[in-house]
Amino acid sequence: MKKIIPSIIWLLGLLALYWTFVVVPNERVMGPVQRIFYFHVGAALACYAACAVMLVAALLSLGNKWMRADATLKASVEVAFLFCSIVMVTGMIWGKAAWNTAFRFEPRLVSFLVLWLMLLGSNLLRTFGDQAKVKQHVAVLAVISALTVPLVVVSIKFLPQAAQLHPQVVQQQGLRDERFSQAMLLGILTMLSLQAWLIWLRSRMAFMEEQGDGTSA
Amino acid sequence: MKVLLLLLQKDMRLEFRRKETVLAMVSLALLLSVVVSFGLSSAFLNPSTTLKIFCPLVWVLFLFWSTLTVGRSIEYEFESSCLEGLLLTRAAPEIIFLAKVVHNFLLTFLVQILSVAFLELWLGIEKQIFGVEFILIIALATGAYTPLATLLATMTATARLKNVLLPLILLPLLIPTLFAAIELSTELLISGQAPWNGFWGCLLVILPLMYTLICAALFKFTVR
Repeated sequence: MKKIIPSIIWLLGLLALYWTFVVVPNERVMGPVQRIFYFHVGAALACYAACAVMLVAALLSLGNKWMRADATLKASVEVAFLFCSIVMVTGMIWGKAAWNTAFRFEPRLVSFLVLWLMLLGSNLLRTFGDQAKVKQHVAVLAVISALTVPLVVVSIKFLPQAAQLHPQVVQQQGLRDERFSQAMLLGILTMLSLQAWLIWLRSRMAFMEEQGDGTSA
Repeated sequence: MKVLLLLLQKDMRLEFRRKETVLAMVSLALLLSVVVSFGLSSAFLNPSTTLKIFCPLVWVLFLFWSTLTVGRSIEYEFESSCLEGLLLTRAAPEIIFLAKVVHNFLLTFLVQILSVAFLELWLGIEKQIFGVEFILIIALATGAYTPLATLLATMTATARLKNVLLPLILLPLLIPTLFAAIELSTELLISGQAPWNGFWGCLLVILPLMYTLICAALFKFTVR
């Protein structure tokens, strides 16, 4: 099982790469740079999924309901930060090609920037916080951050309409060729699988470190 | 309620004697408003542009001076293990937290009023700023800020790099409050009427209550 799951994820990844770079045709307006979309969307969904795991692990950790809760929380915060960074970088690459600027004060970009800052804060608190109480502190911060993220996303939607530049590809039915949809689905599946596996792997490591030296990882 | 008032009285008496937090807040608010005014004066902005950026400046400066100084009132409780002593009494952690929040709210609210007055003076704003609605916006925004700041300051009070860590973890969480305060106060200043029944008005009314309840419930985990 330990080798089967990574192998499946590897295969999914290779299939997603093949579909993205070989099967899918060039997009009519943006050309080859549009292919970054297939990784960008998957990374965003993986980030949100990791944040959901973070919230559940934080609540379980505060309630002392599961001995691996803190290790899972640590893992999910790190993985969410990783995928959030991927979203930011791929978004900036795409933005530079689409809007000739890497960053604009635009709802989706700002909401992900704020999420990235919250996750950075959680990681810093884990490293520099009071080590005697760091588990509880990080769990509390994770709960507040998870509750604030939807608030930020909704708030930003009420900014003036001119500021809304992020492409609404799916909502505006931009994926007319089924190969585009297939590539997007493969990208999403790959990223979500990778996210789940990374969280599982990292939480195992963190739990073993915790058990090994008797302190939190 | 009696315990809450006793704890509040203790904090206010301590603050009255030491005057550390309020002096630090007022000094920082004054200095930051002067620095910002110097920076803006070289841009030679016309009065209407200055009026448009006045409210964003007010709230950005608020975040800076309040975040740097709010932690001081929490550090008192860790000196000589005062917080442990309070927790050993029959006072509920939520009551201890609320007393701290009310204390921080009163200080921050008063200093924010002063900060707005300073900025109005240095930037030469001729329009009448202070009305009931503007003060209400300040009260609500401060009410949304204080529970979060108090809880996170408690968490970082015994951490390494505590002075840097608190702004790093607090400022991203204050984005909705910042947006709501800026949008409402700017609209009030420009058009004379704040859109209380719009999204930002409703958000600014809900946030203080929401953050107070959530942070009060989570406080006991941070001191356990």
